[in-house]
Amino acid sequence: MNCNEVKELLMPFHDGELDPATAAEVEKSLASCESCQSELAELGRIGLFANAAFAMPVEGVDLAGVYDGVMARIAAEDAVEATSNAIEGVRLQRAPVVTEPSLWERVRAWLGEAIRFERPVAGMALAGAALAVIAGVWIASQGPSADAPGNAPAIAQDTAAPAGVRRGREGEVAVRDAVVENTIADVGEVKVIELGADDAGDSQALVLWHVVDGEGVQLPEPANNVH
Amino acid sequence: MFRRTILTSLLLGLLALGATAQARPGESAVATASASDGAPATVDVVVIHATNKGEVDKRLGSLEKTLLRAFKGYLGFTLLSEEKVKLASEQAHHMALPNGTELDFKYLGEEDGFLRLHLEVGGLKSTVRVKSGSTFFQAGRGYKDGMIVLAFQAKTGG
Repeated sequence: MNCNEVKELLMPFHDGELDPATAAEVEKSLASCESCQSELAELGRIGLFANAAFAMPVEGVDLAGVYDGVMARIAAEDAVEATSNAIEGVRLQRAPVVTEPSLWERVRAWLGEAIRFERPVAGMALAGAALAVIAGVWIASQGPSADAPGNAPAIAQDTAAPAGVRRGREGEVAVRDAVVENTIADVGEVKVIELGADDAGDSQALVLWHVVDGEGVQLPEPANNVH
Repeated sequence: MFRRTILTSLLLGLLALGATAQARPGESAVATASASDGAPATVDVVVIHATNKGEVDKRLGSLEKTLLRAFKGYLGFTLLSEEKVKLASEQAHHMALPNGTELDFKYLGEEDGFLRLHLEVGGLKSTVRVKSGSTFFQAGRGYKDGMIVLAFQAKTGG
């Protein structure tokens, strides 16, 4: 049996818990091993110390008032909890009943928030929307402008039209069955000629004369127009 | 709260802009949608070469009398080409003319019994409304020894 095996058995050997055969072997090994003997001696000292500690009489601890003290403390804590519960109950009873505001009240509160000086952006946005509505109404009241680009007809209206020549809207040139609403020439010159009914009662017509310099075509003379 | 205020203000602004757009009169004759959607129209375009000599092309038929009345000083009228185009409302058509100019015309729909046409040819832009079956002319651009005359006749249906 080597030292390691012996040292592992020293504790039960010291406590007398080994069987006789094993104890004899341990004892035989102890006889020839000083290290094991030292360790056994150490185990003996520890054992004595532990026994002394466990065997020491317990004196000077008075447990007589422990129970009463604990119960008193429990009672005090219960009293504190009961008091706080009572206070909480009173607070809940006194709290006002909160009712949901009506839709009108919410709108009014929102509007008040929106127009206060503390919210300048919202106020400006509302003012901008109001201006846009006013501008839209004003524009609608103006109607189409004859001076707007694209609307001014570059036509020569025949102010001395014979009777029976129907006029269209302002700025238009019209005969019975045709109306020139507008005409514009990006190049050259344009003229609208009314072709009135002849003596035989043939239908009237309109001619959009568009002449560009250099092409050799001349605008018709007024005498050439047939009314 | 603040976000809701901004969103509501933006909504009011958009509604106001919409009202303004509706109130503004149309600036482009082509874009004006005052005509009602409805039946298509057939536009007959006759391209004529007018000169101060010659005679009237017999193929021009009933146009002869009107051409002679409308274009005094011109004696010869030759039919160069004719196209009959069926157009739905807001539909356009393009034609190349023999004098190098381009003709674009668009049917704008019917309004108060008149068929509205917008045409653009050689730098001229015009909007005309005609009774169904009526004819109007566009003339004056030079071609060879004379000028080009365009006769437009519009009819509902086709």
